[in-house]
Amino acid sequence: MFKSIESFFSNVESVGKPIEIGDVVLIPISTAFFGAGGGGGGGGEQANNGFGFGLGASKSLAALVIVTKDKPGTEGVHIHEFKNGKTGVGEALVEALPKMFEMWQMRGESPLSNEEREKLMNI
Amino acid sequence: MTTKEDIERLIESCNIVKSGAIELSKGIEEFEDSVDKQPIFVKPFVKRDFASNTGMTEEEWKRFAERLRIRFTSIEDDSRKVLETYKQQRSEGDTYAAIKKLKGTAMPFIDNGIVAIKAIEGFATYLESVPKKIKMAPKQFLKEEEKKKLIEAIPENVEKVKDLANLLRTIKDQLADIPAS
Repeated sequence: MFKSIESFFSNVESVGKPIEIGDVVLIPISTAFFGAGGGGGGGGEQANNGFGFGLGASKSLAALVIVTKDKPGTEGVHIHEFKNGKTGVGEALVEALPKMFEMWQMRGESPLSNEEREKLMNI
Repeated sequence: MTTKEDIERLIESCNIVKSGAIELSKGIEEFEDSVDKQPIFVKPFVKRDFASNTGMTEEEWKRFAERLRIRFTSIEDDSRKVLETYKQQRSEGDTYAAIKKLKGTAMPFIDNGIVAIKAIEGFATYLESVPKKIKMAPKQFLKEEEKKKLIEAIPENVEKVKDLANLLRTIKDQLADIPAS
């Protein structure tokens, strides 16, 4: 268990700013990937040599730590790890969050009072 | 005095309400299943959205639907007993006693039916708002094809839920009109 947590966090490049939505807090965890590539080429008599080398780094959303405020201890903490740090999911999340906020704001006050709910349970 | 025809109509209505309550419960279960398929970070939003807009959690809605089914099963049973006294041409005293029992069984619904109607109408209003929310869902979470399928099913369900609320209103008035003694 601890080993897997250690291994998970050893790849962590950055911990994003927590996003608080109602009683849920989302903490984005990103990892960085570095890549290097080289290539060379050679021609015949009419030499047309070429050589290339590239370095790249990219950051990818690897996981979300989801903390539910009203659940005490570890019960309220969930780590949702994205397989291979898929950018697609990260993009989806980026796209989803503002929409979720919007959806969240669409709700009004609860249409039923506690007393009314109790009445319905005893109907 | 309540007529034999009134009681026959009441029995028929009870059956429709019972089926409606079962359908409501199944609908909530289907909703729960569809929420379970959503990514972990989407679920709390959908659940909270549902509860805050309909006034109850899925679990409470299922319990309410079950209470409704049980109440109308009892009302139907007692209505049938009233009907028997008419069919068997028993004394007026027997009929009054059966009607009194029916009235007693129906009383929790007569008293609180208006809240049930309000809740069910609120549920229909929420359903009407769902297509807008489905359209907002990112394609990574809900494919266009699934969105279309979900949206298409909603108008029919809205009508069913509204019909249930209207029927409950009619029955409530019908039951309230039954003389207590």
